[in-house]
Amino acid sequence: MGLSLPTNIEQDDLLLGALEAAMIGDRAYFCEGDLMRSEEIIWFVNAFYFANLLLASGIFHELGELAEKPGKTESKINKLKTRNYQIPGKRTSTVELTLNGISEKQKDYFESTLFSGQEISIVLVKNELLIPDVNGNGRDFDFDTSIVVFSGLRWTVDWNAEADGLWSVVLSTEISGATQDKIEAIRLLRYEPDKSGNPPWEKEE
Amino acid sequence: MALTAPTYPSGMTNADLMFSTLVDTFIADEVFYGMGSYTAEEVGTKFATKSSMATELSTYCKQIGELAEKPGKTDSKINKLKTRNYQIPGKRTSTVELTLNGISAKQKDYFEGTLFSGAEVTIICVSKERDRATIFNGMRWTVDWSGEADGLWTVVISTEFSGTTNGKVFLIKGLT
Repeated sequence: MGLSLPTNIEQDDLLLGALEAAMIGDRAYFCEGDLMRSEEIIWFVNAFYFANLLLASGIFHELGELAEKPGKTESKINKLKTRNYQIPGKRTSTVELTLNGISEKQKDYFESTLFSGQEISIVLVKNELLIPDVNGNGRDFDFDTSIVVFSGLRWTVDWNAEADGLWSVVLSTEISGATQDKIEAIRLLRYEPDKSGNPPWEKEE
Repeated sequence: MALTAPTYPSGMTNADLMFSTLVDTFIADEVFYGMGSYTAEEVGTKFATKSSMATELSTYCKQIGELAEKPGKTDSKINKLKTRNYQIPGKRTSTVELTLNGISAKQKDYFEGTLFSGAEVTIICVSKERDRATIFNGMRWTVDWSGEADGLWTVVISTEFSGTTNGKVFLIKGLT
C-alpha cells in the first residue's frame, strides 16, 4: 500500500504554510480573455511583475468598488451513490462578486454583450499588492502577494437596491468540471530587490 | 493567446466604473410621477440642475403620496442559461416596488382605475436635498393595497419589465 502524489506536488504542498488560508478581495481588476491560458501568464513571476500587469500594462481595468462582503465562491461535486460507495459525479463551481454603486453607463455596459457572456478574467487582490510604485524600483513594495484569479469565465449581471440602502451590482458565473486554471487562489513569489526571480530590468541595473 | 483590455461602449471609460462616479445609495425621500416617458436627451436637459428638475417636477409631475418607512426597492435579474460548461445570460427581468402609507376611497379608486393602472407612467424618486434622482421611465404600474387592524394602510405600486434597462432606469446624482 502506498500513496502516489502527482509529480508537481510534495508533502509540504499540503501543509498550511503552503496554503491560502483566507480568501482575499480588496480590489478587483478585469480584462477580456483567459488569463491563465494567455501569454500574460509570464507576469506571474512575482508580485512586482504582477502589479505591473494590473496597473501598467493597459490590459486590466479596475472593476469598481467592492462591497463590504465582496465575493464568494464554491465548488460542489454531485455525489453519485452505489449501494456501497459514494463516487464523484459532475463538479459545479460558482462565483459571485458584489459591487456597490451604480450608474447608467456602468449598468448599461454590464448588461450589454460587451461584458455579459464575454470571456472575462477577474483578479481579486489585496490593497497591499498595489502599494509599490510599479514604474519605479519597487523597493517600497509591501510583500503581501495573495491573489484570486477567475480566468476566462462568462459572467452574468444582476443589480438591486432598497430605499436608504446601497445599490448592489452582483456579477456571477457558474462553470462545470475541474477548476484547474479557471478558479485559482495563488500566492505569488515575494519580490525581493536584487534577488533572482526579479524582473529583468532589475537584474540589468 | 494575448489578453485584451475591456471594450467599453462609446463615451465610456474605466473612470466610469469607479465608485466616485457611481450612485451609492437609493434615495427616495419624495416620489413624483407624470404621465408618459422621457427620451435620454430630455432626461439630460430636464434633470441637468436642481432648478431645471424643480421646474420639471412642479410643471409636469405630481407628488405620489406619503411614503412608507421603507418606501421602495428595485432589482434586475437575468435568467441564467446553462450550457454544459458555462452560464450565459438569458432574459433580463427588472422589478420596482414603491410602498405608500394611507388610503382613501378617491386615491384607491384612482390608482385602481385605468387612468393610472396600466397607463404609461414615469416615477421619479428624489432626495430631500434634490441633488439626486432615480427615474423609472415610462413603465406600466399595478397597484395592490392591504391593511391590518391597528396597523398602517399600505398601498404598493409595482412594475416589472423585460430586457435591458437602458433608457428605462436613469440614475442622477450631484445636481447643483
